[in-house]
Amino acid sequence: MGEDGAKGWAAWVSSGCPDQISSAPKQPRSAPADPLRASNTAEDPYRKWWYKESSADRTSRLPTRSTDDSTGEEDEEADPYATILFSDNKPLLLSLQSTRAKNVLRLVWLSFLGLHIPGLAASLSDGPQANWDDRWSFTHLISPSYFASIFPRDSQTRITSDSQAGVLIGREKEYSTDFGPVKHWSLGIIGPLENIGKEKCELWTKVEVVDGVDEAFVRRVFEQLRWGAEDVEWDCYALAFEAALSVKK
Amino acid sequence: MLRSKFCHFSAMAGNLPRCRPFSALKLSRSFLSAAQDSLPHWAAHARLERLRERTDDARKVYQTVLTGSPPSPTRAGASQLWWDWAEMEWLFRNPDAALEVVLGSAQIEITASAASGVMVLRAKRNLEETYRRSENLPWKEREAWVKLRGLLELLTSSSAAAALYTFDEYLLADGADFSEGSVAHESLVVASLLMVYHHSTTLRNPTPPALLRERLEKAIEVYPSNSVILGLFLEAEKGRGVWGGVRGLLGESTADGLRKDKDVPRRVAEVWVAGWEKRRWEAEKERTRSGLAAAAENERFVHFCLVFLELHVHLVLFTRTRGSLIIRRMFLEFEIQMGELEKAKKMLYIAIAECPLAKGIYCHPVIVTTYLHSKLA
Repeated sequence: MGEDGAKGWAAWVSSGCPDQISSAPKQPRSAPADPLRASNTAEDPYRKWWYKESSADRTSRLPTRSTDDSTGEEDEEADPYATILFSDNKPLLLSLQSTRAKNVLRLVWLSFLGLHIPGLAASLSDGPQANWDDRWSFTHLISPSYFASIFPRDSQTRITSDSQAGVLIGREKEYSTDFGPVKHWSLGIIGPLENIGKEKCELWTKVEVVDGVDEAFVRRVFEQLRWGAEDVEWDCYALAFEAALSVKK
Repeated sequence: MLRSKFCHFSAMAGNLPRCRPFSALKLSRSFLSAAQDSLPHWAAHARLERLRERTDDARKVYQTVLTGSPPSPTRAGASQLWWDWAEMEWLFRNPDAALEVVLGSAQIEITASAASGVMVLRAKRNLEETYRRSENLPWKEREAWVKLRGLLELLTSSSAAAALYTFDEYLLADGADFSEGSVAHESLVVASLLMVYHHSTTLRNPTPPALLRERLEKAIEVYPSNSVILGLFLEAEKGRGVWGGVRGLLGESTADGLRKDKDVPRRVAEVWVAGWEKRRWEAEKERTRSGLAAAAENERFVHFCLVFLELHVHLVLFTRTRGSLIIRRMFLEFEIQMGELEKAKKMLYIAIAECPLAKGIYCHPVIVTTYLHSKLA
């Protein structure tokens, strides 16, 4: 899913299960802009390596093929663990028949790609006690863009009042926006394109989408997993993604 | 049926001023070209125009789809379109236009210059009747009729309390429609609170602050992780002069002698809340630290709730945030931001012990450089 030219298993089976599939030439992976990278380009090679690894984790979603030509690439690109064998995946495969299950799978896939869908994890089980693994659904909370929005940027002092000619005068209280970066509600309460009235509480902000997500890959996922012209819910997510990319800031 | 309307919009698109291309609108038009009768797609298109702050274009979409030959109220997407239009007019300070739209959704046309009392009464009855007849529609569509009913009450009486009582008729009614704890109930609670918030804060109508505050205190008890309710709570606490309400939010509270659990998004949101009032971040750092520590070390509680009802014994385990990679990583980042690097190092080792396979922890540059320095020393 998401690979350029992917047609799905049904197309492969109906074309006679060929061993070799001619695929589109592999596009070089472009590292997305990382706001923290610019400030850490310097000397420490370990930090540079860590930023490179963590951005690759967020954006390089597809495994390599065993037929990929690795000549001419840098040594660090030839990672043997980047190829996943079918025998590793086979025990994990399951057949999803119901519409709801298929819909959940593609929404979970969006979550993995970095597009958080509030309430998705909780909607999959009857009670909060069954939801023990938050890694796949809340990993966006520990991305660099979220840290930048959660922690205040400027240093803040505790001084809350000044003294003028012996009179204590309290400083004016200043508040940031009421609706913070963390968005969490039960699934479907706020739709992908709904705002909190005039307050900009978009489902996905430009910073999250541009910095943490491979745009072209996500577009292909939206296109390939669409179920036809009446697939409103999926289309609304696709429109929300495009809107997040093209909003002026 | 909507084909001619779509052609009209395609022509309009060609006349748009040259500006930065909005690829979402282009995509929306491609969806509409294949599904011209799909009301939810039209609703999405209008919302995109609203996101671009082009209310005139959004209004044209609503007028084209809803007036002339209005769709049947029980058709999928109709209620959402009516609500979106009414809400837009209301929020952009056109209460007369909003009232006209709400009456239109109830199939009442204003014939005189203003709506009469009889028209309003008939509209209320029609909206309630439409809600009852829409049993087969999803809860989100039915909710739009309730919101329209609430907005009608607000526009005609200018009383937020009256609007809230309207919502209460549905929230407190017996039956499975909006049972407490369900998604539909949570959604309607959020909708009612947002209506009062917009009436008082966005549109600056005089409203007793206690009205919203009391509702929010109850709502946040029932739905502690809902970030919209949390945001509204902060707004209600603004300028109270005391930090008490927000401090209570951030602290550990109990119910029936047992500590109440908070999940991961709520814990992370609390870290942000500590810095919500500028200049308070430093003052609240200990409270933030203790909140994260409570989340990280949430012991395994075994609660025996003896329910003497048909002699059933109910056993509940609470381990919501223990062993959470997200909490550990957030705690680590918090200590680094505070400059407490020794504590950050200890936190890192504990995090590795608890989440050994988490790459975000063991590849952290602090541990890599610390490990290397200790080897070279």
